Amino acid sequence: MARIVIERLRKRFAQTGPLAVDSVDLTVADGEVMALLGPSGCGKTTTLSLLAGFLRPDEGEIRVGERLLSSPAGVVPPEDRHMSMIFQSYAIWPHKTVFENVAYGLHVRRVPRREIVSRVEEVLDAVQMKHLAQRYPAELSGGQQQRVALARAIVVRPDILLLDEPLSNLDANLREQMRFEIRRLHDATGITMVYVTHDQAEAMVTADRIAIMNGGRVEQVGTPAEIYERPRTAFAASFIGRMNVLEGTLVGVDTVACSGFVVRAAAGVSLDTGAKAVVCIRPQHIVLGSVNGTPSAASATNRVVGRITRQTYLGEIRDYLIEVPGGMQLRAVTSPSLQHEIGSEVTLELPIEHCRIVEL
Amino acid sequence: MPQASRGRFLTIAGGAVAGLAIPGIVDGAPQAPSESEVAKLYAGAKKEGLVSWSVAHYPQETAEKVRDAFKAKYPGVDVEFVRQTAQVIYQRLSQDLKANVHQLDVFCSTDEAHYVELKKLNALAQFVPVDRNMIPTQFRILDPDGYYQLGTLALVLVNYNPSKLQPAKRWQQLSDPRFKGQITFGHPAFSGYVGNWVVAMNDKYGWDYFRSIAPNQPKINRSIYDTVTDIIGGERTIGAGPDSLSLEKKAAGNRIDVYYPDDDTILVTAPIAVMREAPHPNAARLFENFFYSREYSQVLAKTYNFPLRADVPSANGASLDKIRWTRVKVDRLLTGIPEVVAKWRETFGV
Amino acid sequence: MASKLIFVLALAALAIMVVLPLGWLFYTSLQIPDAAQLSFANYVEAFTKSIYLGPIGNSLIVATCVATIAVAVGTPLAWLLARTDVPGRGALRALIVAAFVTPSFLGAQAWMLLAAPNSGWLNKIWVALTHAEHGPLNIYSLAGAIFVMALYNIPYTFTFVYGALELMPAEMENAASILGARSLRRTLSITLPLALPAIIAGFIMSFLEALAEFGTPAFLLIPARQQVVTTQLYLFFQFPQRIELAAAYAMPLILVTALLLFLQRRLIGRRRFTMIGTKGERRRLTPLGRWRWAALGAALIPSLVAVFLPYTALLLTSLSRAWGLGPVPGNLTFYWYRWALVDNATTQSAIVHSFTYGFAAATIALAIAVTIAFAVTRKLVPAGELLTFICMAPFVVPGIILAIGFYSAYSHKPLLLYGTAWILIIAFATRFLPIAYSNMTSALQTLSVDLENAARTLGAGRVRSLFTVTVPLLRSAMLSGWLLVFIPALRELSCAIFLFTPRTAVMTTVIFDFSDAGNFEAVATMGILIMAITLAIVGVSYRLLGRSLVEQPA
Repeated sequence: MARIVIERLRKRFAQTGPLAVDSVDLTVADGEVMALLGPSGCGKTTTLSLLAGFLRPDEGEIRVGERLLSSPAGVVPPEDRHMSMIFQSYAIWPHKTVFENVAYGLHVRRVPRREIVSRVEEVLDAVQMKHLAQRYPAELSGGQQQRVALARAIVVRPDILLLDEPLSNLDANLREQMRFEIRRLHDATGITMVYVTHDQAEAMVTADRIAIMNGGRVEQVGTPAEIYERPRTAFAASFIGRMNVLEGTLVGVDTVACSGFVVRAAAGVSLDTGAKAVVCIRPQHIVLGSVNGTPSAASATNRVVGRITRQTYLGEIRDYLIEVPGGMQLRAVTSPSLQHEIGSEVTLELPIEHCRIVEL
Repeated sequence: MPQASRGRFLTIAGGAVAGLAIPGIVDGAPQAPSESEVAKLYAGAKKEGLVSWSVAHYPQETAEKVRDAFKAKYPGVDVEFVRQTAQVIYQRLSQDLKANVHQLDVFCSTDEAHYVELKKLNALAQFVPVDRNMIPTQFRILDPDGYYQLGTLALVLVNYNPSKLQPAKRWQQLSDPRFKGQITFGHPAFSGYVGNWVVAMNDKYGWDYFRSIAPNQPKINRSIYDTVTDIIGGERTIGAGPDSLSLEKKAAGNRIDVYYPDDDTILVTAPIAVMREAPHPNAARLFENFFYSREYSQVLAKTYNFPLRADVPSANGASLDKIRWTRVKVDRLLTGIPEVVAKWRETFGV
Repeated sequence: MASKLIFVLALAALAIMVVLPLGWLFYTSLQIPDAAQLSFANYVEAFTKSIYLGPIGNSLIVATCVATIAVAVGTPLAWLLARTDVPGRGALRALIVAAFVTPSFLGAQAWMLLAAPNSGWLNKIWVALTHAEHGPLNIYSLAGAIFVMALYNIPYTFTFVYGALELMPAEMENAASILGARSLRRTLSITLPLALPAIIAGFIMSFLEALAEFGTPAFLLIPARQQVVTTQLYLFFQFPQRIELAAAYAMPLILVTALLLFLQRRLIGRRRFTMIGTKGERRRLTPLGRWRWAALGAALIPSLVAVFLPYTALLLTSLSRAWGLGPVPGNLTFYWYRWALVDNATTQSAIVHSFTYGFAAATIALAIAVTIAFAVTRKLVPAGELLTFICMAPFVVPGIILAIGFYSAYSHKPLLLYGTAWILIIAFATRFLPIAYSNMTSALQTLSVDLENAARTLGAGRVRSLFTVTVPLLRSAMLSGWLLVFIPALRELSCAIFLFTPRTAVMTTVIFDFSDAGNFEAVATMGILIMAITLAIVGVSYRLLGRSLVEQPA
């Protein structure tokens, strides 16, 4: 059973430094791919290092199955945790061939020679590197090295696979391709994976669930759809996908008054009236219309008049930046066939079902 | 030491030295400058302020005493000196002369052949110190042409540790197996004193003498004074060494003594000369002249060397009329030293 | 325009420092005294006579043994300090630095006091304790010379390997850990192989150092009646002097050195061991558990033998009025320090000279290194490879041979430098130019061209942008480059011994002159003085620069 339970995890580097990991609670189900997503410095890599056993927590516990692996009292060393890891730099050993790299873990486990050969060949085949088995890493491209790292990690059949931004050194096309590869590999093997990345598209493609991290804390855990459609914090809202974040004051359980207009949201929040609140809507959900069309263009809930300040043609969509009363700039996208001139006035409809109030 | 035997020592030693002087040349040699000229030298030396001196005659501390005595007698003139073995100071001097660099004033080597060579190169100044008249006639003339004078008289004899063994009574006995691992020498390619001794032994017994010593694994250093160091340090117990330093160390309570071998102590006349292109010509001449002063002889006496002047008592208890000694003539040194250096390398490997 | 002028000046300097002396050396090797035509007769004589071939064999044996020991001790030591939780790491590193800056000939003098077969203090203690005939140690032997030279080469190999271990990305070893490899397996299968280029570089450097060493063999091997190439070269200068033979004898040493350096470059270049490190993945240290203190003890042994014992011997001797009597109460005095610093004009001026020449040499070397490194890394001139080669060429030439070359080139008109301080200054600057040059090159390579280009687009010329943008940023590298020339120049012997004259003696030549005839007190005192000054300077620069000082690029 490779169910990971992380409780109240805390880690601080310098004696008086900031908390790199601030009370993280997380559960990863057996066989699940959990992505730790966040900007640099958010603590995701430190969490992964704690999980791998390279660091000792100041507080909290890490368990896998029934086994206590890490606590302030002590840490089961990485050698004994039955985990594998893919490092951001791949860490392929330059003095060993591809074959020797992949075979290393099996040698350590004293797997008999014949079995080593067959298992290594099998896994190299799976990552399409069999024909390069005798090459040295210096002779491989970045993508090929990455696949060697993958092969090396899974050939030992670990309970858990940890990935530390494995794709960030690849170019865009390769990255996209590899995202699917990794997901496919997971589906074939069923290994529990914890995947650290700052790229939300990567997380969306590969992960079963995503933990959004910011400043050492977990802001939200959920499936990609949950986080995208129902973000709980302003940070989570803007981290995935493009999002308009409107600040205002709560005037009703589900209504926020921004300067100059009022927005009603799909669900309420349990905050006091008068409290600061934020309402979010994605650019593709805003409906733009010409002012002339509707006489009741003036203040209605979820409707505001604004002036186009920027317009960009992006092929698949047209991207607009619109200034509304109160000074806020809202972003909206439309199909490319609809075109509003810069400087023209437009109405913006913010459909209630797409508005969400989140914590600041 | 009774006065009488000292006088006789000077006579006999001087006789051997004077035997070199070609009859009749004495009249043709340049005359020594007069007293007032010494005063003139001093005045000039004070302006120059410094004399640069390289010396192989005695160890560092003795050279310092000579320097201090000179500075005491002639305040205002400093002495910068390098004490090293004869071949080393000669090599450096030659290197400088070849490059036409003149930084040395006074040259004191223990290999008389150097001076013959330097004369040939016209590198020496012709100078006869006025006070040379203060030493007995027999010593006055080393070089009839007056380019170099006697600076120090030294002996090479057996040094040994009396608390550990009986000395070899003859040089020949050094090949005795009882001295295995006990012997220490300097090196003729470095030390003029050792060079003199090796040539003497070679001429007396042939090179087989050294071949027969080789199995005794002698320790080979550079300077003749290393012999003294090795014996008082307990490193070795017997060797060919000097008289002066050993007697000085003996008087200071160290376990070392000297023995005058029955098959000849080697006498070395170590000369002094002023360079022709000396950067401080007056100071240089004043310094060489100082070698014939009472103060210099007193320093020699205190350090168990032979004083050059008759009116200074000696302390080293040696009496050359009582011991058997020999001296290598300078013509022989010219050819002999290179010859034995080459053979030494073949026999001893260094 | 100014940049062209500076560049031309730097080229002229290189010609004087490197090209001429080596050229003259080669020319001299073909000369026959008192004969007009050139010939290879010197080479024939030098390499067919058995008494000249013996020293070559000895040199190779000694160098190989020294390098092997230095690597065998330096590598585990580096591993201990870089990869374990051995206690007292700061102190250990300081001791290694102390050994690093000690010239090996001074160590040889100290070890003569400690381990001369009969008079050495350690042997005497042994005899007193065990009532044996004599002690077991004999420093006057090939083994003794190898021992002393290895001692002072260990810091060299240590630095190479330690640097590599520090630079190695933690992920390389972490990858092995997580695959199950424990400390020993990981070290043997991953850490050491990845450090192999540095280990090899350390071996080669130690080998070359030992090959070129003069002082230690002169003190320890002449009494042992063993010659090596450097002492043989020295003897060629003694009576009867044979400079032409010396020049011929010296050439192969240059070739061997060049060959080894070339080999080293190829070995490192091949399996391009570049590893892109990522943001500080923290490195796990191997816990030693109950072996901690034993490990500390083991790590202290090289320092004990290279620093504690010798310096104690030197210090006690320098404080003894007469060393033969031993460091007993009645014999202890500051007499010799007064003698060196106050009473003795020779030692006083030698101390001053060591400083002024070292200072001048370091400044000149740095100026040239900066100028040429800048021109080459910024590709301002053609033939960058050639310039680099010339700047690094002195590395290939052992000090004693460089001195012979300098003497040949500059002891006659039109460039008569012999007899002046300049020949020493330039010889020192030349000897250590390669260090300054490689230091500056790697510093400049890490500094982006864009910084200067930004200045240039704003109107500053090349030279101005060099001085106003680059130089301030390189301050730290320049200071360490300067020190890397100054400190070795202070204790340089093998060049100085040939090029000094009565007026230009330095501390090391004075020590050498005192080293025979039993002037142990004088030698010890001058030795302590050199080391006190050097260590003070190193201490101050450590404060200013931090650890980057002693970590040289491989």
